[in-house]
Amino acid sequence: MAGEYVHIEPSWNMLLDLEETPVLGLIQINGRLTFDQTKNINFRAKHIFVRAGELIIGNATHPYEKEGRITLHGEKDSKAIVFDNAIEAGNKLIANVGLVQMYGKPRTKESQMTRLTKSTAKGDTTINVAPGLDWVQGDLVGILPTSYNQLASDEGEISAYDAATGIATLTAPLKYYHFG
Amino acid sequence: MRGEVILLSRNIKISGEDIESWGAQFVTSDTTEFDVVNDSIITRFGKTMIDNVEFKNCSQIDTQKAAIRFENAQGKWSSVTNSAFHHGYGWGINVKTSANLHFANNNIFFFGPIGVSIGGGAKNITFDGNVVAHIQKRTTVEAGDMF
Repeated sequence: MAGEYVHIEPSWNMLLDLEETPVLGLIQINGRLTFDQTKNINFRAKHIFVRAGELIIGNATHPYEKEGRITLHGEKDSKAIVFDNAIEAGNKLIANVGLVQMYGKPRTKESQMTRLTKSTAKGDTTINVAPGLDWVQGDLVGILPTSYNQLASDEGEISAYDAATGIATLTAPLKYYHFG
Repeated sequence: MRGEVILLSRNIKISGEDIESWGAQFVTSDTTEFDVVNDSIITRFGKTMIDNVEFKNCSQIDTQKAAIRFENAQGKWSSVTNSAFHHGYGWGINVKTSANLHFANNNIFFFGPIGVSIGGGAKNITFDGNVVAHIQKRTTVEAGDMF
């Protein structure tokens, strides 16, 4: 139920297979909570406290391949949690004094950070980058500044990427010039 | 030098509900608890292994509560790799009185006023191949129709 306090007991080995949970209150994990590898999951809560247990999403040899989300809810004045007098934990958080393991679908190193192969101008909707990247429609990219203005960066959503030519089309025009 | 283009999307997303510039946060720590039943002290050691995860709208403005924070986490080693941290109103990464951490090939984009802070007794931290960009000053903005 929404807002509910959930305690995963030490002996429990729970598989989360709900596509979308209600917005739970505090989840305290003292056992093991694992995302089902075969489902898209949106885990919604105000606080997640991994105390004597484990929160597992994929592992090094079998990364999670679906769309997994943890959405934390709350606002500045929401109730805070305290688990140690020396640490200001606060609210809207995942606090971990146990084990949290999250392995997402690997993206190639070249795809994570590439460079422009051709300069772009303000208003352009395409960028030229390296071919053969694993970018897909809907990916978000940040195009970093090449001028003296450190904030002259752009961000864009990929609407198409041609792996043969390295031309990526963005959903919105660029705001700044970028050297390439 | 040719402009860098960094990928911000991953299939595992941790995000805060977008409200009042108040994002989510992830903190790893060690802690001690008093075991009343056995009349003893239990120490818990936080360990975080993150790879290819996206953090969006995480970090809390005007606090040191970064998108990801290690505070007094010394007992075990942790690793944050190949992940993207973007669009937070506060700090990106904060490491404080912590040890044995590995950060590699992460993209940290659009935070302020601090992208990455490693200090306050941190030791044995490796920070390799990460990109940190678009770190804004703390500014005052017009409220507009916010109120």
